[in-house]
Amino acid sequence: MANLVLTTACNRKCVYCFAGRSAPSGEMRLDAAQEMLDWLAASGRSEIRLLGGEPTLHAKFPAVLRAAFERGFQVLVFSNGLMPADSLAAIMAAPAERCRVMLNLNIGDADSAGLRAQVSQTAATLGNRAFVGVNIYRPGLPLMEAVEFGRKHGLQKVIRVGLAHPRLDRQNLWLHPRDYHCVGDELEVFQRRIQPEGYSLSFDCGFVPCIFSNDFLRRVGMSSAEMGCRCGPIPDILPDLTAIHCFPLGELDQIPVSGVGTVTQVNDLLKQRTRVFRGIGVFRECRRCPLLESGQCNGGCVAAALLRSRRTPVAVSAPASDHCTVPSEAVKTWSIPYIDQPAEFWATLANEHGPALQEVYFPIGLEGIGSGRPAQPDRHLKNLLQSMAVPMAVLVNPLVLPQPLEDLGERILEELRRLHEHDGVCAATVADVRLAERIKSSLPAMRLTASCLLEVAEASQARLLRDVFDVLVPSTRMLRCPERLAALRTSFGQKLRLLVNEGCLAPCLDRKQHFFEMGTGCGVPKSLCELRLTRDPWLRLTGTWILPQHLHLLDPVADQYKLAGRVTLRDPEHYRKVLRAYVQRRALWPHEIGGGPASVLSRLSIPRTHAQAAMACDHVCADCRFCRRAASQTTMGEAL
Amino acid sequence: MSAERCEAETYRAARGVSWVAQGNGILVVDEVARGSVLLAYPAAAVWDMACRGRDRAHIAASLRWIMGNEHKVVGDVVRECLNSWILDGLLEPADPARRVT
Amino acid sequence: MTMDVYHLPTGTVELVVSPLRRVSAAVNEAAIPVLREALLWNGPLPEPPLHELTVALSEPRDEPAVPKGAAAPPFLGLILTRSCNMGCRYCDFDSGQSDCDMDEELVSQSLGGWARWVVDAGGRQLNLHFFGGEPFVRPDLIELAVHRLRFLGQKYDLPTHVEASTNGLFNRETLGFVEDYFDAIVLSLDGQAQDHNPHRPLRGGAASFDSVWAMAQALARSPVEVCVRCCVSSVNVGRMPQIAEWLCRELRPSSVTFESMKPTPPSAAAGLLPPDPLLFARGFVAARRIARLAGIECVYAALSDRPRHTFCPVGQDAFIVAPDRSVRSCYLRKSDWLAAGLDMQLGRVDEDGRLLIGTEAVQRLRDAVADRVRCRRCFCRWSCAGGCVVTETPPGHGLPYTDYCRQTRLVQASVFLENLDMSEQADELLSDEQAVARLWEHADDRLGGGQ
Repeated sequence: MANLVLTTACNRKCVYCFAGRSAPSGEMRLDAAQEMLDWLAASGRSEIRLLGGEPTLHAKFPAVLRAAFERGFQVLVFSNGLMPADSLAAIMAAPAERCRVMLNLNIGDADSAGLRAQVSQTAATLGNRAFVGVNIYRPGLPLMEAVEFGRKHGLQKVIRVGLAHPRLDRQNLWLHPRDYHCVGDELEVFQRRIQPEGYSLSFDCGFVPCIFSNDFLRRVGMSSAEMGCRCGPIPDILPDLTAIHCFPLGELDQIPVSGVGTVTQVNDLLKQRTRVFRGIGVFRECRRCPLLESGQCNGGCVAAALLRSRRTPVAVSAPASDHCTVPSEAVKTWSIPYIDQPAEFWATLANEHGPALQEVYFPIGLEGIGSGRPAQPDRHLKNLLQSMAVPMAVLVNPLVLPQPLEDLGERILEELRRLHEHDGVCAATVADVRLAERIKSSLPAMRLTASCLLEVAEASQARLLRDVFDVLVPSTRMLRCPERLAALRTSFGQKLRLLVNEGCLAPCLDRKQHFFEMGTGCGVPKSLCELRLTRDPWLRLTGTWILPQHLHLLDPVADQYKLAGRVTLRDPEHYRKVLRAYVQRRALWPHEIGGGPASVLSRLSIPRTHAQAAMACDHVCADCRFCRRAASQTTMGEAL
Repeated sequence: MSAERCEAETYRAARGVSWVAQGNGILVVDEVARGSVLLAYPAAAVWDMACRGRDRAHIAASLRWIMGNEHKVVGDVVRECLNSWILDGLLEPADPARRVT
Repeated sequence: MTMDVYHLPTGTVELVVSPLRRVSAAVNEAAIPVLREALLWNGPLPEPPLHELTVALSEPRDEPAVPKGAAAPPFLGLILTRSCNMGCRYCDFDSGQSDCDMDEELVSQSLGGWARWVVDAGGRQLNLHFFGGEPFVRPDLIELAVHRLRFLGQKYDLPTHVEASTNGLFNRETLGFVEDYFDAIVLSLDGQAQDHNPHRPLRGGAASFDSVWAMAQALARSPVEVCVRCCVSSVNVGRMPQIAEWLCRELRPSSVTFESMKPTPPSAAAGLLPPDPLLFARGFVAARRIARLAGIECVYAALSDRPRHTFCPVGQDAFIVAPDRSVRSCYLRKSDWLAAGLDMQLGRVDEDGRLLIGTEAVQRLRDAVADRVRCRRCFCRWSCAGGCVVTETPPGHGLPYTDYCRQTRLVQASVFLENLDMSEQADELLSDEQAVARLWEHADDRLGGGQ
């Protein structure tokens, strides 16, 4: 079994909702959902559950359902009953034995008559394709209402009961463990009452066996261990293709499913993550409980257990996202490096990403002037330029000009003119301001981007460039300083483009020498930071990179994004994977992003809160313990 | 740093650190490093008092009474505990200026 | 073997109870002579439906023995201070005049000596209870004591339990400590604002309800067990059910204890009177029903499921250490016990931290509480056990039932009826003043009636 969180959008605001803030707002793309279904099927799963928000609000819900059936899945939809007509129709069209709906009812709440009528109508249509689910957020809920509702609409004779768990930020109404025993008593009475009618109870996670009598456990057909060990990852797969343990613990970690062989392996990673919290227990008495000691209970809901702890959050939570809107991925455009592949490759990319592709950049074909990297293969470049399959941009991006501008300028302008007139190249990235001024004067149609090699970090610098350049790529050291980036953007007054996967050390002092050696080929191209990284491998976590699943943290200050040239050193499939991940905000591991020499080398999990914290800190990395601690986690794979 | 300043230094738990009284000790969980340590007494008392903002002098003085007749090495206990937790990144000086050593 | 069978008139039925056998039954008047014959005079066993009852009441039972030997303290009480930050109108602890607090040394030594004692006595847990005054006016001592306790628990490999009786006036920082380390809080809360404020103003007379209620709610969200202690006077006796309903709904404590106010000079000066016993009993029974529906225990201290010689720490070997280093069995003032002709002091903590406990003093108190003359003929003798030995049944106490006795007898009888699923009969009893009077005047509840 696995849970696919199709969308975070919801059309209700349940007081006990513990799904909020588990993920940034979003909807799982159809192709991503299909990919997940393929992966789950390959992992041997035969049942999936579709969650939200309200999953039936997904724009392509019928298509997702179809895709699930095509792959042989049994589907259970978790719904609040407020479904769009086409989603309900899709469910009704599905084979009844393959698709069921759990209708989460808000009993005990003062719903409006209209709302109740809508849910009733859905229930009446679904009939015995559905059963009722109830989240218990306080003692004394009128549980019989659930049975009466089910009876009235001919639903299945199963009542699924769950405990309303706390969010780690405690912003929802939850059932306090002190009330567990009372609820246990109520459920015993309830079960005795409904059993003669043929109703049975099904239990969500977090119940602990000590709140029930042995007789009750026998009547519901569960052992202590079956009741007590239900807290564990399913997992829940979010729209950005990260897996979380569950909604209440979603803040703790989000594991990219990318490159992980099976869903069982993902679950193992998630279990490792929560292992440190097991044994706290929801009750103080848990520490002396024989059921916990013997493994018949794992201490109840970890989130509820964490209520007993003093906790310094890793980062302040991001402002609550509006769960009723689903942001578009196409808002930001991408500048991507040329990789030597035939035209078909580029046509496929253009098809896949469409207007999200701003340009493909390539080094100008003049020796020592194109870029700071050694020359890369460009067999197919000419064809690509001529095909105009994608917008192209030229790099005039050396660390320094190899000769004075007066001697070199005309040659560069000539080549740019040729590219512009012959190949339709209309954009250039330039690392010299005087050169840029000359280009602007001679080729006014050329859009100019200020290179990151200008190391623009101050608002005053940006101000100087506003009349020369159209786009600014700031110093990559700034990537984790959203406040300063915002100031730069304001001062520059035009578009800010951020390089997302450079993977160099932000405080690196060897950049000039490094690029010089790389660009001139005068030394063996190697990372000058190697010794430092061997000594302090944790420094890789301070690199100038951001994962695709955290990119939303920079959206408020960026207009465009750029992939670093180093990603072209990977194979083309990997190149596509990285691009797709960043454009579609699909999760990747740090070692997958194709970054520079100081990249993270192994599978290391970086939760959203860590990314937020790394943007809010004072960036005095050399003395900080925060990233050192994060890097010391060895449970995810081999050590750095 | 002067002895007086050292004695007056206060601390707080670092980001991503949770702790809970567990049995007769304190379980400290480092969410960032994904590890945990169960502090027994007297370290548990030092941790608790440090995280509640007590300064070194107060912690040492209290520890005398907490440990009763076994208080001979209180000063060493306090120093070792605090220093090792700071080195591990679990604890940090409460004064931002003191966080860079 | 003891007879320990009692009968008493409760309106339309007779209650027959045997607390030591944990048997209770409702019978008609005609059954009483039948039972007497069978149980007292070896008469034939009656036919059903009395047969089963008679067999149960024939089970041999001995009275619980008065403990002997070394003291086995169930908990350590620390009177950290007699100071208090409230000016409760019925309190006569002279708390404003007393500035006597424990010091760190005494806290440390008391705990060390007592823990050693518990270990030597084979105890299985270290239980600590803070008293006052208001113990939380010294949060520094509380912090020290809790850590010392846990240190000792670790040293002797014993679990620990911490609780305090408090008025709920402490700050957020202290609340945090309580949340982390306390197992239970006995919180004095006399009802909603209209009930609580007339009883328990701050020093200077300002209302305390809002502050106490805020803390109560915070505690209710924490892992700490909250036991509300509601003092009932003539002011709030008529609202006991409403108080219970409100507490169950808004706070959901583990338990609610209703206790009737003891008259004191300050309460008299404030015009506060103890509640009428009948009104108290009615209120308690109604409150108990409400609390039970909510799954919350409603407590009257004189009720007990298990037979006991004493309903308070006195006689149970509790060690309660006061700021003057004395170890006593009672947390009331020394002047109170002495006035009652009792010496509750068990020993002292010497300057080297040794607990010097007089074994004779311990036994003397055990014996003193074991036999209360007034209680010998009362069916409540093994539950109420005479109530407070200082205020209710001091040495030389008289035989006639006091208002406390009447109240307790009525509450206990009603609870017995409720436990027999005879709530209607309980209501009839409580609304029939003549039946109540008969119950109150029933001088000898023993089945033999002295025969």
